[in-house]
Amino acid sequence: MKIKFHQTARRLKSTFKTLILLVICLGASENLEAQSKKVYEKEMPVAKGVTIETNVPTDLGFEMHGTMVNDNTKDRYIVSGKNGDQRLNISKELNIHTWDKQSIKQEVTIDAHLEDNASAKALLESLKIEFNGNANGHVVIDANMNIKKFRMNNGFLKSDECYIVLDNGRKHKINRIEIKTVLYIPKGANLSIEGKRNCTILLDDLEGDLELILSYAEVYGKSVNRVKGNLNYCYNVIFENVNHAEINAINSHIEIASVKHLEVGKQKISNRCLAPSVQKYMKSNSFQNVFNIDKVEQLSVLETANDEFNLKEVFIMDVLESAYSQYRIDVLHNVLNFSAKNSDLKIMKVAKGFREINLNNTLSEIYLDVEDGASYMLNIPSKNYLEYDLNQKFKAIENASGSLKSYEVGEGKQKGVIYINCDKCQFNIS
Amino acid sequence: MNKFEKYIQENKQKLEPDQIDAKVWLSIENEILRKSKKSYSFFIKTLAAAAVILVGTLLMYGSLFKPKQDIEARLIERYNLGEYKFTQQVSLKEKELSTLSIPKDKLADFQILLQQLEFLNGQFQDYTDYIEQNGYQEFIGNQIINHYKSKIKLLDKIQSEIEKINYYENKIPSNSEKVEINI
Amino acid sequence: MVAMRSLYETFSKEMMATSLRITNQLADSEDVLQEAFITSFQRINQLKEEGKYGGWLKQIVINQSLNFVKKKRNYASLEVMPECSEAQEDSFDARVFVFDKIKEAIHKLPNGSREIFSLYLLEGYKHKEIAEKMNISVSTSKSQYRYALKLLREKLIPIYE
Repeated sequence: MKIKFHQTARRLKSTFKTLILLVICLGASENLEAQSKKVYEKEMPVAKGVTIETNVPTDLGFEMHGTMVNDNTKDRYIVSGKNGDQRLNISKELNIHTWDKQSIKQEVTIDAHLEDNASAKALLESLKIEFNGNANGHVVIDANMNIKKFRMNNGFLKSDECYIVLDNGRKHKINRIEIKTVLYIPKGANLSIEGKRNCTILLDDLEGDLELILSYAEVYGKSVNRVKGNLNYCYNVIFENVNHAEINAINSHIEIASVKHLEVGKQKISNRCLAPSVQKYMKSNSFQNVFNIDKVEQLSVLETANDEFNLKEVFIMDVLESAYSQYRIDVLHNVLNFSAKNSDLKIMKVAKGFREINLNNTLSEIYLDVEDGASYMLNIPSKNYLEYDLNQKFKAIENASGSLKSYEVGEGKQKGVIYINCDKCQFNIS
Repeated sequence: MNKFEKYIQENKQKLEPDQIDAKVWLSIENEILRKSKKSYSFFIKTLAAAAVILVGTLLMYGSLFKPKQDIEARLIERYNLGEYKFTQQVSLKEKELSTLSIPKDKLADFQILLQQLEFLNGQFQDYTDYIEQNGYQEFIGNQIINHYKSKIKLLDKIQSEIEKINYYENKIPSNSEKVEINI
Repeated sequence: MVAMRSLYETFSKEMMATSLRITNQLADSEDVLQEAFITSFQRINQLKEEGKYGGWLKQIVINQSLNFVKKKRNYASLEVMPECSEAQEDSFDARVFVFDKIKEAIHKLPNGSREIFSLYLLEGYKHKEIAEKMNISVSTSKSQYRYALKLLREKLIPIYE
């Protein structure tokens, strides 16, 4: 009985040792992984006037089943697995540098952690930069090279299982991957960027045209010749100097330091920016946006509903169709044609050399502060219900028809004209 | 309805039981876990949808039920919804607006803003669809919070426009029938 | 699970009260509550507007409670009750109202009257909807409601007058 006990004890001890060894080995194998970092580069000459089309890094396909945590910081898009281990880390910034060379270049830094060296080698060899299209006309650049999607599964009893799936359908098992992309394009090229997930686009001076079809993006641009922006929920779209900008946007914030001609709401925002579930509710071309513009030579608001315009300096402004929008202008230099409904207008200074303010509106508050020394005529149709009070400088002029009340201010020869046709409005002029 | 009926109706919350036997939740939890073992994705989807609905619920019922502080704390901790009180603001504003009316002849013009509200609701549906497909993720939470901010701004706009219309309606009545805007 | 638990905590008491006024049995209502929450979580993806969860859940609770008691009760036998006089408005004083007594009085209402009273006054159903749900006539629903009010008034006389 005693011998048997010792034998059993020895056997148990040996089994225990084996188990411990096994656990250590398993633990070690968990820690044994191959890390490979590689910078992929590809440069290709392109013709002058080429149009470059690219997506955004966060537009990578995702297929996830199980528990995941998404840490969407300003700079990184991170997906972690069930125990909080990072599995995917994409730089949200897409840096687009422009240069004098007549070529395009993509630089992608991949930092991959895989189970072993062989797998790492296989992945790194499979990844490649491909430029599609025709170098003379359109060139398509995928910000994530030939990576099509990131796939992750886990479960109650199953640890994270992650794959990178390539365009050709081949999948590579990974533990973790980091991706960062930088593009170089000719200064004179045209550029089109499309993306549905939030990202930050940093763009150098561009002499060509820029097309943006973006949702949830931030754009920081410098000087651009022409911009056409389809922007959905883009909270910061900022440019320094733009020659011509056409913005069709929803719920976005647009800031431009100086723009020669800005067109707002020329057409409906591209459906490519919108979820199918909301496309049917798109009744206005531009809505719920905030435009902060320091200097605009010509502003054309073609159709807007419930936008907010804060303009420091505007020379010529045409508002063709506006509802429920608000306008605050620090200085109006020259002309304002304003056809709107329920749109409040506040001009802190109408420059004394202004030519014309032609305003048709309803249910609004109008405030005009005309610079001292200005000479102008003020005409107000009698038919409207308009609450206003004029001080002594407004001298009433006899009007034959009686349908118009006219007043004169100043004695200069060059007279500006203000026409306020606003029913159910409050009008304050000084 | 007499005073007695009205009183009961207004105080019906006081007719609720003080507590419910803990075994009821335990049975529910067991059943959910049993089902979730069969289909993990069912569990994740249900949990995610429940999270979204909880936010929406606080939006609709927050002011009525005053959810317990600990629920709020747990929600904030779990989903980092530090700003989820927006939902309560939306709820209050919607309630306030539902009692307001405007002249019928102004309703057509008003559709622009109501359509924008529908657009925002559609956008919200897109977020919930995403959560159903991919699980709750922080960036969707952030977008939902931004959605609420936009919605509050829009509701404020609607309110100020109603006030404006009614200000002039009092000054120069249109004799148009008054209708609710049905938010 | 936290979100589901939070939904449960937010709504369970109200749902329990609703169910209890229909089944009048604690054990039955606990079963109803369990089934209703599980059903709602299973079908949560079908809910179109997240803000309407409470109303949607209430429908499930009421339907399941009525289905539960329909197996035990025959509402078709409910009668149209004779006209009852309206309560004296002035005699009502909310300051002396004791809700425990009211709760008790409601639970002592006869089967049928109690469900109708609850659905009409507390759940906001119309008599037509109640009639459809319980397979009775609209006039039966109306008269049973008035009858419930009369019984409550009688039971609550000491605090009601």
